[in-house]
Amino acid sequence: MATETQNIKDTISTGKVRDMLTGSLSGIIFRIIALGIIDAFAVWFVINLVDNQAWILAVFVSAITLGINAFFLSDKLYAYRWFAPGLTLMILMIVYPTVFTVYAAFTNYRDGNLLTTSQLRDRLEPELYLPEDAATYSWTAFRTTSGEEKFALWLIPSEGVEGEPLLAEQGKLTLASEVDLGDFALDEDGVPEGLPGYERIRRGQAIGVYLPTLSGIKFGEGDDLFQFYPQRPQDFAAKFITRFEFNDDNSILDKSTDTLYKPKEGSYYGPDGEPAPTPITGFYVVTGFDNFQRLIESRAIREPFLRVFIWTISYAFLSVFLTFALGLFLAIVLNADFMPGRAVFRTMLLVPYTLPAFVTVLVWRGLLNEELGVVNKGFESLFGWGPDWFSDPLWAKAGILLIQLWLGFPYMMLICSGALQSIPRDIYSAAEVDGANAFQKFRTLTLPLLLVAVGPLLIASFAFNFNNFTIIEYYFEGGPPIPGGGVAGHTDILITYTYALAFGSGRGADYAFASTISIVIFLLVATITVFNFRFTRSWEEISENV
Amino acid sequence: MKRRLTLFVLFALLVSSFGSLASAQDEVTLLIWADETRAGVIEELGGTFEEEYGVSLEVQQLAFGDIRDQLRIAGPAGEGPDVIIGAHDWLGELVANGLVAPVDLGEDVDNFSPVAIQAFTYESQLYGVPYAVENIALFYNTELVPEPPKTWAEVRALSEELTDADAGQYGFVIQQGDPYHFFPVMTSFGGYVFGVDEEGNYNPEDVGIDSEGAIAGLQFVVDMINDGLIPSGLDGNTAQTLFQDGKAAMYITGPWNVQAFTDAGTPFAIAPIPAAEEGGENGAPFIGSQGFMVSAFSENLPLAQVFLTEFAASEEVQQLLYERGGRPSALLSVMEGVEDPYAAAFAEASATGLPMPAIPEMSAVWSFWGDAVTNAMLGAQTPEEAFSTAASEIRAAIAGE
Repeated sequence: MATETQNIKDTISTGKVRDMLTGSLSGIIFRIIALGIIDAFAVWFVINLVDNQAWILAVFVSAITLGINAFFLSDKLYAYRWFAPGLTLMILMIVYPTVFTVYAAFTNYRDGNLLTTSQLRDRLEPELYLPEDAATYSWTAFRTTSGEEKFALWLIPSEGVEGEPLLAEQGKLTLASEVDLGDFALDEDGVPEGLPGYERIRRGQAIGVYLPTLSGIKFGEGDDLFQFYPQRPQDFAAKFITRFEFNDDNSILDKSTDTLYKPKEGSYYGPDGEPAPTPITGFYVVTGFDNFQRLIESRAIREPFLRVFIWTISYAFLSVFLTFALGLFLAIVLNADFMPGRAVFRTMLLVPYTLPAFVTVLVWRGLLNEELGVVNKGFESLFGWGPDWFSDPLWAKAGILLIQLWLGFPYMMLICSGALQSIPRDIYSAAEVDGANAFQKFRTLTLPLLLVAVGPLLIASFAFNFNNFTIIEYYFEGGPPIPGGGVAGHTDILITYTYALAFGSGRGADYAFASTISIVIFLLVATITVFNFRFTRSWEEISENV
Repeated sequence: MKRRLTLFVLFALLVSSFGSLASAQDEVTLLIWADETRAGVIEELGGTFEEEYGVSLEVQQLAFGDIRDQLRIAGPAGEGPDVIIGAHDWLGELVANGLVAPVDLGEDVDNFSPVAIQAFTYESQLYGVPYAVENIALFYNTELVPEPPKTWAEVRALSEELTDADAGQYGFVIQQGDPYHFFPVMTSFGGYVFGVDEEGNYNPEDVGIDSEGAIAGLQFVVDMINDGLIPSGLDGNTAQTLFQDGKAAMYITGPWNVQAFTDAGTPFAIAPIPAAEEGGENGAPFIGSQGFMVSAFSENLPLAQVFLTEFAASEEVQQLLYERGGRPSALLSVMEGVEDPYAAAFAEASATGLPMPAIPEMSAVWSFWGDAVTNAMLGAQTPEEAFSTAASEIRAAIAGE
């Protein structure tokens, strides 16, 4: 026994001083290979990111990789290796999106300005144009038979085009009639079967295998350079000219019209202030507080904002209050010893909680349908009248709260049941001795003690409902619409309103503006939550006195 | 310390070896993003193209709507496809973001339905090879309505005859707040959304939501609702169910519901949208078109162009796309060989049709226009109020206010 204990102690103490440099050889090799794979991937990833000017993500990925390396190579930090996967995910999935959202709010990242400057160059560089009087040719490709791989095109003027057949080699242009064909003869189309030093490439192969190479080559010499027609490379080649020229100040010269387009806040404008034509698009730049300014100054946004804000708060509050009230009531009932079959009821009542919210909302929408829904059919046969769940603003709000109640009470019941069981029974006996009735016991003992336990959960639930996109959007997309109220509807909450503003405003998707409103919503929710936590501290004093 | 140095050297070696592996050249591959049905067709027929040109086709299957959303991110990053399948009304956005490249069908352009070509033409430039056109038309229950109504007055007369609200029986039904299905009603009365310039491009400066005809069309529907002939608060599913169960005699919908009605045994036929008055022009449904487009960020741009003009535009491919997709083909020669009576009826209804505007301004129109239709149908505003408010809001949004 004694030696065994000693052995364990030894293992523990050596374990403390052991680091990867003194571990078993196979272990070290495995770790190095694993780390090498991670690093190789990271280097490849970062190079790509830098290439695409995704600076923020590149910094994050580099930092994460350096961190992982440090954890595994440094003796001091080796203990953190268990954190590495969690930290990596947290940085990539939570910190990075947050930082990017904040960054995007200060840019003009929206439809029309989605590209970076280098992506815009990639996009415009292959653009060619054909001067009006230029001739077009059908082509046949040839490839050198030995030595350095080079290509040549045998060009025959297209039907109805004046001109002579040509042989365009890389750096050389000859009239076809002056070409020495050697042993080769022309076929019925007037194309030689081969050329001295060259072999003819079969047409299918020329397109499938060599087109990527061929379309990057300018055939001919001097100013007579032939390229494929980008839209129908299989049919034509001609003296195309590169259409766009980039300057260092990011301005673009369109050589087909000889117009210079200058960027202003990421969008291009011509000399007379007209927007640049397609295919010139904008790129995204930091625009400072423009989006915030627009949020404050725009009449269409500001006017419905207060109305939407008030409904958001009432919706979140009522959702929590109603679900909590019903959940608590059921929890107390099901907590009473005299209730038979409590387990069965409890299980059945949890069903709504287990269903996905968006499915439930769609089902409820059917149930509440004003013409055919079961609910209104019932109402009409009983009272001869049914609520307008979708056309009347107040009833629409009631409908949403009803669905919310059905969806949310099982959760509240669950947490209240747990909290109820943790309240000591003896304080109730003490209260009975003091002559308290059932209501007094509930009000002065159960409720305060319960709130201490579930208070933070209620606040979390409030914050969650503040942004509960699913229910509002699937119920009626924020409708019924407010006449003359812009994009806001009667049941729109801030997050659905944001969505409508950012993606339905007539300018396509506006990520920058959506980010801006998200930040504002975050500030609102954070403020409310801070106050809520202050408020719950008063309950904690109660629990300290018990 | 020495040991650690060795480790770093080892890393450097590993990293560089991976790097060289990654940069190894592979053969030419065209990556195509397609939805399930189209992916199957390309995989089935792609063999001939691969053989002829010695390239390999890789088809990646995405949900239809995801193709557009993913392209904005993957395209510019150089990770995107060479060719995509998409709807023509994405064009405004795709072109504004520089994501797609123009296409030239040459003389083959005459083999396609002109409206499909018009749909894929944006700022006088063709951006895709269409494979399908679709539009909505008037479905009528042949047991309740033996002869299709020619005018909206006839529709109303039939509705008055058939409606029995207590039994849940209706004549013509239309869903609330759905501008797409309301548009044909509005156009038969002379309304329009955007005016058209000489070249056939939609003009965002000319908003016709508050035009006299648009208001008249809305007034017609609202009157029917107020007179109890159309149930209020109908959503799309409910209206479809009513027609499917024979509880509604007339309904405007598209080819996607043909199968459901056939399966349910609903006796139905399809007719063009009625006109406002005898001898007037039939209402114009929006025409949607789907087709192949080339990503502007494709690394094999010329080859992708060849794929479109040689493969996607071929009759064999278009024929199979029609058979699998079930939507009327955009290639005229395919449609000539079709004997399906429904396809012919949809084609007849499309004669007056207009391509759904693809200009980015349309996204502002949808929401305001839809809200206005809802408000008028709910009685919150008169048709005139609803449409003039919507039109001024749309004009403000387009002007960027």
